[in-house]
Amino acid sequence: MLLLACLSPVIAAFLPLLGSPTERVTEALGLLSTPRLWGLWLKSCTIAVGTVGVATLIGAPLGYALHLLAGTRRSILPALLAAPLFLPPHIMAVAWIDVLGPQGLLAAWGITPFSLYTPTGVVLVQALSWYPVPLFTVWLHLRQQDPQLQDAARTLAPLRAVFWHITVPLLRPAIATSALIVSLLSLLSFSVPSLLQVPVFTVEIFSSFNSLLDHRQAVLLALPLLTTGLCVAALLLRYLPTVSQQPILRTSPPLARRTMARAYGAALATLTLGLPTVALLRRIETPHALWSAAQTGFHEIGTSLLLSGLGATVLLLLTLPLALSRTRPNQAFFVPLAMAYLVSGPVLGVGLIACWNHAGPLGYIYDRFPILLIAVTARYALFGWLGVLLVVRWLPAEIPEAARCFGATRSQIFWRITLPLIRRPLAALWMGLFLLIMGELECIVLVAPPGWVPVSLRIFTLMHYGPTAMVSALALLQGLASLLLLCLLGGLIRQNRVYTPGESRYHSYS
Amino acid sequence: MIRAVSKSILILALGVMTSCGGSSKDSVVVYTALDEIYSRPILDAFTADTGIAVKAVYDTEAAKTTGLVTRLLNETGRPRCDVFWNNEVAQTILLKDRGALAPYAPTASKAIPDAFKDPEAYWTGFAARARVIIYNTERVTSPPTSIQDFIRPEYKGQCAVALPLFGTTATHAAALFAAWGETDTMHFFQQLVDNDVAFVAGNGVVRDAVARGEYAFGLTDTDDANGAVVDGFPVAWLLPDQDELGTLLIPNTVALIKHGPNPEGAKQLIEYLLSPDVEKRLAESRSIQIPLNPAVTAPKSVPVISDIHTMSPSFPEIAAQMETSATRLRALLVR
Repeated sequence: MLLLACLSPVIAAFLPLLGSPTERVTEALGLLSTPRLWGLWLKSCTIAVGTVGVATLIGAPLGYALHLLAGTRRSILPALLAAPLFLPPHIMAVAWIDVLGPQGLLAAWGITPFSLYTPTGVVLVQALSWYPVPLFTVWLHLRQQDPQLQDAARTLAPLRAVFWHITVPLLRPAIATSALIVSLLSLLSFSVPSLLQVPVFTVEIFSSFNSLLDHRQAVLLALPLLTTGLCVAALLLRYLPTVSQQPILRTSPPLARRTMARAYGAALATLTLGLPTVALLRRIETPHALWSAAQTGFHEIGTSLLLSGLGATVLLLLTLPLALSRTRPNQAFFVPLAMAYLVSGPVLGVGLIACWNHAGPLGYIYDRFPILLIAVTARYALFGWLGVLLVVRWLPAEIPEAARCFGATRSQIFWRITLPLIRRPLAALWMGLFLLIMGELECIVLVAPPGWVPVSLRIFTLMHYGPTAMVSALALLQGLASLLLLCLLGGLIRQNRVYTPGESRYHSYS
Repeated sequence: MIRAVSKSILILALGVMTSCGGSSKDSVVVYTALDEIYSRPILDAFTADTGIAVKAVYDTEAAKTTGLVTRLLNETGRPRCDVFWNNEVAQTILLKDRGALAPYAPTASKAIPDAFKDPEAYWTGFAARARVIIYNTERVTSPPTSIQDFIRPEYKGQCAVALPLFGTTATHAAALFAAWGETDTMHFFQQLVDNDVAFVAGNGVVRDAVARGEYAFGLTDTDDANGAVVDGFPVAWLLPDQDELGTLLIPNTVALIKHGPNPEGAKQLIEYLLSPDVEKRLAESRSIQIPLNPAVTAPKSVPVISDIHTMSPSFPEIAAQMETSATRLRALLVR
């Protein structure tokens, strides 16, 4: 089902390229030999590399800092640091324009650090939107490491040597995973570069669709990004964690390190959450604007929440059995799933129309909400699959194996052992997918049926007049609605938890 | 608790899967590129008058992701839309050329001047916007009166224009190609680049940048410009090139979709949209759209069509230049 959802629109989108091979190759070579095009490609790649670098530099140390704080006491810091994920990057871009732009908050105080309307600005805005990806990847990865490794090393070597020779190598898979995710997000990003007036490769694809209405050219233009994305992904996939981790015995770090970690986290949360929120609130001006947005955007926010919730659930339901099979051919799913994302949203949207807009049952689906669900499933299957692969690595292989030896059935093992063991990372993954879908724009703009418009789409269409009070209010409401729902879910998970930090995972089976 | 939530989600999902979808006898599906804040009240009024529900998909010219036209072109095999209400004209003509529209001559179109409707009745124009120069009154005392002023050295780095690949700015660029020819127009755009004119994300961005004083003046549409005036920003606007080249007027267009699911309902909606009442409402709105029907009286702040010296190329001539214009300008400006 997953392959069908992902591959069928991709194939349908590429069908117009069929025909005389010689003609097509000549056409492709003619198009792709333009130096200007490769200049744009280089700019896209440079921005992606920069975004990965800055996001990792901000997020990875924060993940380490959060790890140091884990087990000390409950903190809202992780939730605050995840805040940039609650708003789509183009809204964050608008907020950052209000902070760092020529007429922004800082300019009003006489501080003009640099122009936001440059590739550097795009890198900064994207990195500040996506740094939670390396943050949480590193944090979750470190939670699975045995601190005794580092403690033992520290008896033999100074702290710096332990950090570089033990901690950093241990973190490599987590950093590679987050780099993969951020680089793919950045390569395909259109809205932030567009708002900051930086032409990138995706602008070329979008203008082929929108200005020239030349779909064949747009599909051909998708090929360089598709190839680049696949190469990057193939490279980074080698570093994905491949071994199950050992049970954790937590030790509390020294007070000074915990204090430093808390201060660093709090400072960054203030910077990345506080400033954009102030900027958005400044635009809203009166509570009436917020109330008015809530009234007019109620249906769209509901659609978004429903779509994101169902989409994340469907993605987990489809990818979890794949990952649990733990078979090598599992890796073979990477290419088709990656293609569905890397062909870019509009190409996927056109493919979805070609696949589903037919008389009969297909048309019934196309005219209704499920087409949105299919669209987000196809677009984000890659991230669901990558996430589930990571989650499954949390599962110590010997426990289900032992249960199997004692005669437990597959169903018993899944419901009573596997699911309780991975429920927390799985919930975290569900939340990540939920937020990703909340921000989806490029694909659903082509397939959203009448009456089912997600709030991200409404915000973007309302942005014709620039970021008005209504846009800011809707953006804040979208963020708040996501936050509330995820807090509710977090509460439920915590309420039903099986293990507490420091507990051995084995006690239930002894 | 989790089980209860799961059950609720399942029930909700089933409800959504079977929920109402596209067009039916009692409803009309309209794809509209006119901003939702203006189009939604009019569509609601149509429903109140006729009892026919309207399911709208909104878009704006600033939605630089592929928009409604791409969607309509890809849905030609099985359209789910009945009426296309575009806020400009060139892409409607492209849709006609690609066989996505059906001819329909509304009774209400008789009052519309011939220049603003298709001779074969595939589309009809109404309620136009003008391309205008917006300027910041705190930065400019003697505003430019022509788009040619944008290349004057004393204005270097002070002007903003939307990227002419999308929306009404793309239509304006195509109109220049039609009026001046390819060589002269490309030379003009090269001079704009050399004069550090900012090519920004959309007309709304031009408006905001000029209103905040980041740029002294820019090129935008009447609805954007008037919005800034109404909001109290220190800006004013004027119709450019009233001596020679003329101002470009861009009407809304309405068209019947070929093989749409509810053609009868669609025709009723088209007649309604072309009624004097709708043009009057659009003229009185913040977007001050210029009525094309001479019988409609508009507020004094709205320019009168007979007083405007308009650009000479016809809309089909402008539409014919869209591809050349986009290809050449993309090579110049997107790098």
